[in-house]
Amino acid sequence: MKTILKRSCLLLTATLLASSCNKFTELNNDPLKASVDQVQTEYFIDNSIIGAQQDPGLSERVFILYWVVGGHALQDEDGETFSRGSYDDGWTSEYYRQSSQWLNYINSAIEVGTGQIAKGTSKPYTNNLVQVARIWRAYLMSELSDSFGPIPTDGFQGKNPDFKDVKTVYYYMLDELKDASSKLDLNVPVTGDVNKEDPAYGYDFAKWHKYATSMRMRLAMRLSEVDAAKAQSEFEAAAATKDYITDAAGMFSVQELPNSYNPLSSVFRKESSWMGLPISATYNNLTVGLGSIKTADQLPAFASAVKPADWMGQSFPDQFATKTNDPMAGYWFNGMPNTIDPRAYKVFSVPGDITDPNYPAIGGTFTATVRDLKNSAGTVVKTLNSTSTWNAKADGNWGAKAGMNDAITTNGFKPLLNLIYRNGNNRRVFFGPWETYFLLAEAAERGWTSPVDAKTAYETGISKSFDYFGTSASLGAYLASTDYNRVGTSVNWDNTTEPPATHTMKYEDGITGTAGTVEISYPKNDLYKSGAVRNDHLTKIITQKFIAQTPYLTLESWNDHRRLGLPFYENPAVEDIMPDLPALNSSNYMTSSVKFFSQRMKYPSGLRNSNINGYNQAVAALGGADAVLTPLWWAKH
Amino acid sequence: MARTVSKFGDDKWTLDTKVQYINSTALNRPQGGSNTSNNFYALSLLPTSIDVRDFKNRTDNNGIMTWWRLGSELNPYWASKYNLNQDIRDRLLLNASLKYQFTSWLNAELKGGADTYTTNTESKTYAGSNTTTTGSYGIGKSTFTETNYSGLLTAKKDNLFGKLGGVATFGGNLMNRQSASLSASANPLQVPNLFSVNNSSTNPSVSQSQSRKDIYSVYGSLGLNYDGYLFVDGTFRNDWSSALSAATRSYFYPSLSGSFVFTELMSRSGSTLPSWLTYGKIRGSFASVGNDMDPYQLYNTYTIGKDPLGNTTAGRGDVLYDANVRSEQIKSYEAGLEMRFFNSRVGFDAAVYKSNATNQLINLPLDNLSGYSSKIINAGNIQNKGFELMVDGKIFQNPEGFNWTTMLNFSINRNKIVSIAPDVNTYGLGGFDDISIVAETGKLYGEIYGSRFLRVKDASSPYNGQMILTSTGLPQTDPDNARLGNQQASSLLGFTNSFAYKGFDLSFLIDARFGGQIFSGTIANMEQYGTSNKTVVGGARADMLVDGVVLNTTTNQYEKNTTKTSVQNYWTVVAGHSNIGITEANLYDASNVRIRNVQLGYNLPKKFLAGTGIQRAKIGVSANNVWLISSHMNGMDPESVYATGTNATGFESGSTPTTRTFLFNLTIGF
Repeated sequence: MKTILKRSCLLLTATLLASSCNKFTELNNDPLKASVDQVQTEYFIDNSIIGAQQDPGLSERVFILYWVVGGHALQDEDGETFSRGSYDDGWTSEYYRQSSQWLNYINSAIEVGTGQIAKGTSKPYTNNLVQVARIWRAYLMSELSDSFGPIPTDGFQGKNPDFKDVKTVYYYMLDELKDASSKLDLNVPVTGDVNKEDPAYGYDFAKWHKYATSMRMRLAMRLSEVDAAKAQSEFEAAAATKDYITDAAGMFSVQELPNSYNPLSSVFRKESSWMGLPISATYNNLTVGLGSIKTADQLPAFASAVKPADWMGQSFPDQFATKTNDPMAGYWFNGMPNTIDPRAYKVFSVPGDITDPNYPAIGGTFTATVRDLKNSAGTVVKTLNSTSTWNAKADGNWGAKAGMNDAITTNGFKPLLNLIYRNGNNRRVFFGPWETYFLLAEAAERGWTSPVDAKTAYETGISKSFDYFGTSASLGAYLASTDYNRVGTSVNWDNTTEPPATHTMKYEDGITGTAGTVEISYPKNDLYKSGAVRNDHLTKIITQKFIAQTPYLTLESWNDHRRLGLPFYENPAVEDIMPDLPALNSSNYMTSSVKFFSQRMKYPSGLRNSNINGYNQAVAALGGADAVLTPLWWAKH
Repeated sequence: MARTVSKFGDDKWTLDTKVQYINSTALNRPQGGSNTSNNFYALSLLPTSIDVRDFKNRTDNNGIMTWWRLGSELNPYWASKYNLNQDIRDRLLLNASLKYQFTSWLNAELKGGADTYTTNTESKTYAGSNTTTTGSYGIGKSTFTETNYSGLLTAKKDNLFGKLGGVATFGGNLMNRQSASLSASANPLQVPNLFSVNNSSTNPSVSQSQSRKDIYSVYGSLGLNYDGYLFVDGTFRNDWSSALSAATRSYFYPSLSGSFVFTELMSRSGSTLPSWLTYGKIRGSFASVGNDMDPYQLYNTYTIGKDPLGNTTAGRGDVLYDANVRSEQIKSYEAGLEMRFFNSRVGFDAAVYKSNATNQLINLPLDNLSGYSSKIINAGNIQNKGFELMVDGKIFQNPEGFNWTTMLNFSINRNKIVSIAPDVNTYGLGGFDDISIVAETGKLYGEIYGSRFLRVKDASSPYNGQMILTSTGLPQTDPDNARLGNQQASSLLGFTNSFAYKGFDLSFLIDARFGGQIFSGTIANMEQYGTSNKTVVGGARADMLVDGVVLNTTTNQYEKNTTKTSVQNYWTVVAGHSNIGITEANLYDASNVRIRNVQLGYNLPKKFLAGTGIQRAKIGVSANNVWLISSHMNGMDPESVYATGTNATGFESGSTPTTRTFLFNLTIGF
């Protein structure tokens, strides 16, 4: 009896356990997660493109405090870090983490799509989606590599990847773009609602094809200084197809969402009201005096504040930084510029113009128009009014002058990025038609085979940009202008006469009011042709490209400056030493050097912990220390 | 709580049931760390020239929050009324056991129990602040249930074979654990102050989670005792967990212990104990425990979501799972000696132990460009070795008069990383900005790494070790981070004294912790803002001459610094560089001594209670965290930590100050 009892107990326990153990395997499938058969390629592509719009927490850090500063689209008002050669590991780590996520999504898209094709469970358009994913992946890799330098080309395999040098990365991206765009079948459209899963083009494969060609041209041109043969052959092959972005319909842009906190929020979100976003000294010096279009004609309401073309401003050498080669160093421009590139007034607001619906009145200091200048003892020596003035503040260390100058350090005293760019109703641009034309102009200028000649491409580029900003009415007069801006460049393609060494300007002493004249030199841009030319064709092309790309394509402007040294970037003010720009001091601030401008983002500190092999490969491939001032392979050294 | 015990069937059957219901409601839990809802940061960083009571009105006439500065910080008065959170937990504990006594030495027991709770959370932020101009709302509900069914067969008999007696048990347990949660949040709201999830200006974000795990176990034990002075016990247990894969799902862990009361042996074998020796026992044990992991961590899957426009998105999971991971195992050894003297008036209990946790299931960080941020591996050998001593004495023992009992607890523990994984020598535990707390092979758990002052490192220089300052007299940061300390205490001490006289009793506990370091983000931020008392010396903020050397660029020699600097510039560099400053400047010794607890009680004499039907009554008052007698953290409590959900305790930032509590209690027995 006992044995029967014992045996049946054991049998019972054994059967129970056995049956429940089978159940165990199913138990361990998370009911809320999807398997590979339940996901579609377009879900991943959507996730990747949306993520790359950058949620406000990320755009605040990488877009505004790194890229905008490197590209000189706006002043480094809020960070005062990257412009001084410094960095923040937290900002960098967040960008690295999120960019890895977007790349992870897009690689999963390719994996899932090719898997479905192999298994025969794909749709007719799946192959096209895989090619679209490869094209977008090439953009994401270019964004990551242009920020850090060496990156892996075969990551996302579930193990720590090897880091490749920038040349390998660029060759890989160019091959990918060429191959993927050739495999796009324009006769197989998507069906149903799948087009909603592409916020850029709605899976219009013809547009993706044009984007791929334009990207090939952009990336090929990047190698112009360091690998001219490869640059030329890749560029000519792409341009010859003539299937590139040529109009607003083909522009790669993504719609923002207002009043939100998610990736589709504007990168310049107005709810982040601690961001002043004032005009940069670089943009100011390029646009003032350029194009011969009068402020009085553009903004008749401000005609009374317009100053003559030879007016320099009020001189305050004790309160405004003088240790910089910014041509406006030491001056306060107490009025509106006589002529200015018409696009400037479309991007920036006029100080004091608070009745304008686009004026960014989002905080107290944004509308302040009265501030004091003090002397070193702290006594007020002058009260300035910013209404209807137009000034920029050079980045850098203003030392004691920052404490003496309440004016230029206040938001309301500078033209600020207006609400059109902050409201969340705009479209963030990733590739505009103007860039295609400026690339063609540069290629033709280099003597490469281009379907459009240099002058036509240049003028068409400007025309496309004017279309975008809504300033086309002034195009004719603008293109004919031979006036020099503050840096010595003019618009007219055929006018390559160099400006004189100096030009005479009228000014008055800021404190006493005594009038006088002064010989102002055009700044010497030692980074380009040793500063000997200021008005050649390439300078004109890159000047126009810089203005056209502001503010969304600031990363591309940073790329152009690192590659060519154009356009002229003023040195950061060195009233006090900046420990992270040790080469810049009070005896050499009038010359330009790559050692005065941040060249890349340092790798995040976590990379050494998580992938020491990869990190060591990256540093070896970088050809220099893992530092902010180490130039990338394709940049000027 | 309700409990019933009923016996029936000739007292052979016993049925014991217990039901317990607990409701805990928490309103407006404080938040630590550097975030807008941390009112303690708002207050500790308030400039001394501002009276916070000026902002008692919370909002201006337009309903906008008033505060002394722009930005995302919240006015604590405003937050107390308009930035609310609550969580309410309803918990039910059910237990039932049915026991049948077969014979005097054999019984069987079947038990069933369930622990189930539902937590409802809600958070509301009203319109008017800078962060969410129209307000935000979040709501969530989560449930958890754990059920256990077990059976145990026990056989127990003394003097079974001669003087040998024993206990044997055998049984099993079926455990099921399930949890689920659903939460939604609307941020920002469309219509201000209408707290409904559908009132979100964009799609409300919804999150859902679900989890289920079963563990089936079989266990048993055998205990032998010889003549009441020699004991040997052995247990075994085998678990099958649903969270592991079929090949590794079963894990077995035994234990063995023995103890020997040598004073009993001495008295039984005829010799008399010395008068001062009352009791002595020596013991030793070996035990191993196995642990599984959370469910759903075997197969790599994808997640489906929605983008802000409502289109479907998909992504890979964050952690790379491996179906072949095994259970963790902890093996520990312990030996102890307990002795009592002078009729049990004085005694001590000393124990030494060593335990090793191997095959730890850890998330090893991966480069994000691998597709995952970490992967699960079995790795590591983490060792805890230490010594514990307890000494107690009844100094005065007089039932009618004054009684004084004292007890001293002393412990030393060394938690060391013996190994992590092949090729891995560091594993991050936590940190932010310059600080990181790591587990490093060969070192104690919780090494603190951070930034230091730049100093002269040339041993031959007369200025070796001094700070290198800038030409303006300010300190600089050494570009390389270094090991600055460890978070572990070297020893802990507790000292309790209890006094009783007539009906009164009073006791107090002194608690001390020696060794270990902690970084204070709160003090760093206060120094940066100028609200820390360290920024004022002798009631003034005169320019300071920092003690250090400056490099003369012409002679390339170091010279003593002669340039004074403003106090503000000094602290901006020391406490402000990369958010919380140079780690070395705010790393404190975490040793401290405090009076942890004081209790005072009074037993009402029986003659007061006669005739009331009450058998006994006692009133008492107790206070916790009475007095921090000594610490090195400039007023912060070294027990404030950044987060309780992590093992990285070596830093704090904006922690809630420790609270002193007073309890009054009344016990009545019928």
